[in-house]
Amino acid sequence: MDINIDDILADLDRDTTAVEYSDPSQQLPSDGTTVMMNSSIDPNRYKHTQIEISPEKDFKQLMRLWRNERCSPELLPYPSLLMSRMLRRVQEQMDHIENVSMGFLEEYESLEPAPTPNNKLQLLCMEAELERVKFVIRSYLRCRLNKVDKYMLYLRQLNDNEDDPGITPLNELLSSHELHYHEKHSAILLKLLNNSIVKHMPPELQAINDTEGSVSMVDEPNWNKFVFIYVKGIPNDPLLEEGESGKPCYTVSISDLNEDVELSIGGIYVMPYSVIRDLLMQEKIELI
Amino acid sequence: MSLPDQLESTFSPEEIQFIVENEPIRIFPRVTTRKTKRPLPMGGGSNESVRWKLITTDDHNVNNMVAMQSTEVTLWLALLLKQQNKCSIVAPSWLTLKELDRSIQYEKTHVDRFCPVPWNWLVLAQVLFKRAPEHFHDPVHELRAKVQDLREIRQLKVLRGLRHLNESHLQLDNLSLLEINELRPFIVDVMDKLRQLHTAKGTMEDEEEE
Repeated sequence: MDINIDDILADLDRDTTAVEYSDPSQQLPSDGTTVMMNSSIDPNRYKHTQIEISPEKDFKQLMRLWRNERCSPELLPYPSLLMSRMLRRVQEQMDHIENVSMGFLEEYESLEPAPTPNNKLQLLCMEAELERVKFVIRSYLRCRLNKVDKYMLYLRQLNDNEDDPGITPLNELLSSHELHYHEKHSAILLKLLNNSIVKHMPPELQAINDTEGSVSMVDEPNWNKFVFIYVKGIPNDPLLEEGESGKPCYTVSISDLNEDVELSIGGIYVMPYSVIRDLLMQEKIELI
Repeated sequence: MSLPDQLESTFSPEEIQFIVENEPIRIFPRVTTRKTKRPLPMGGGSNESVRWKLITTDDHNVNNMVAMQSTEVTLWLALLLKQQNKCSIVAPSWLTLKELDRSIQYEKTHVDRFCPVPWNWLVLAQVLFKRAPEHFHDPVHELRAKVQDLREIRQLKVLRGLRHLNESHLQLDNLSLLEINELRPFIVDVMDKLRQLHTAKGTMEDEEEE
């Protein structure tokens, strides 16, 4: 057992040399268990883009992404590296808890007085924490799945317009599991619609993605939905200007009202999503 | 289906509490987890098994708790330790009769803004009143009444401010998370509708001009 624990701890240390986002060609294979177990990333490979990461920061980032995802009308890009790290930690923590509770580690303690009462408290806290992490991950994924369902046709169209550089390709937007789900689910649903209704209709009415008529048949995210934002700002951002009140702020313009709005750091605003989308993608604001 | 309808437009109060529970708070532990220095320098490896290993926060503080020396941990951990009678929670400095009175005064004198209480004040106050009432210096029922007063004044202000809802944007500095959360569905709906009306008006005018 001792080798096992040392491995885990060594892995945690090694973890600090991974990167937040790398280009997709470098991404780990994200097919389930292999990622969780295969943590032996060569640290040198990422040396040129080292970002200090810690479990604490990762969890904060996950909380942020979860809240953004819950509030935003559109599906946000999937953080593959972050999620694989989180899932691996959950797995390792489950193993660790198992080891501690089974008493596999007690042989270490032969020199010490029995640490049992403290161990129980420790186990309780570790288990509570584990459940909390699992809850966030679960809620995050469920929220994403909901959007995958809701914007099924829209996402399919994204796939068709791959060449457009302004659009995030579907395989960066969705994880491989979500991609698989989306394909299968939409295939089944379209087949059902076709067999039960569409094929009995006159040919000119058979399209299910007709956008010509008065009402578009493709549900797009409501880009103008109002969202609550908190202006976080990043230090030394050249985009920051001095606002009327003397505080640093970002200026955004609401194009169809011809209005400019100053978003000062630390403020809370209600804005149309389309106006602040770029700031959100650059992590300068958070949805709350 | 995968996400219940009522959670689609806003967070549930429980989820708000969950978010707040990740914030740090000061405690006086009643247990000691710090390891005494051992004579054997090679003993480092065997220390690991009784170390607390946490995957969401820095576990340095948890591993270095000394009884009756204040330290900072996340709120959920503090509540868990409190439940096991292993620590007492230090009430934050704004949660005293004096500070609350000052906030209420501020709210009364400044009609057009909210006083800068922490973004989690309401949830934190409620959680602490419920789970750790014996750790306050001031009587809890008075604190509770003050918090309620403050909440009502702020709520009134918000409701009065609703008439200023418009189709472009809104600024709500210093409003706390729970207050935002309960207002969210209403404000978003109204502003969406106002925007639709505005766009419709715009297209009508365009057509008339033609």
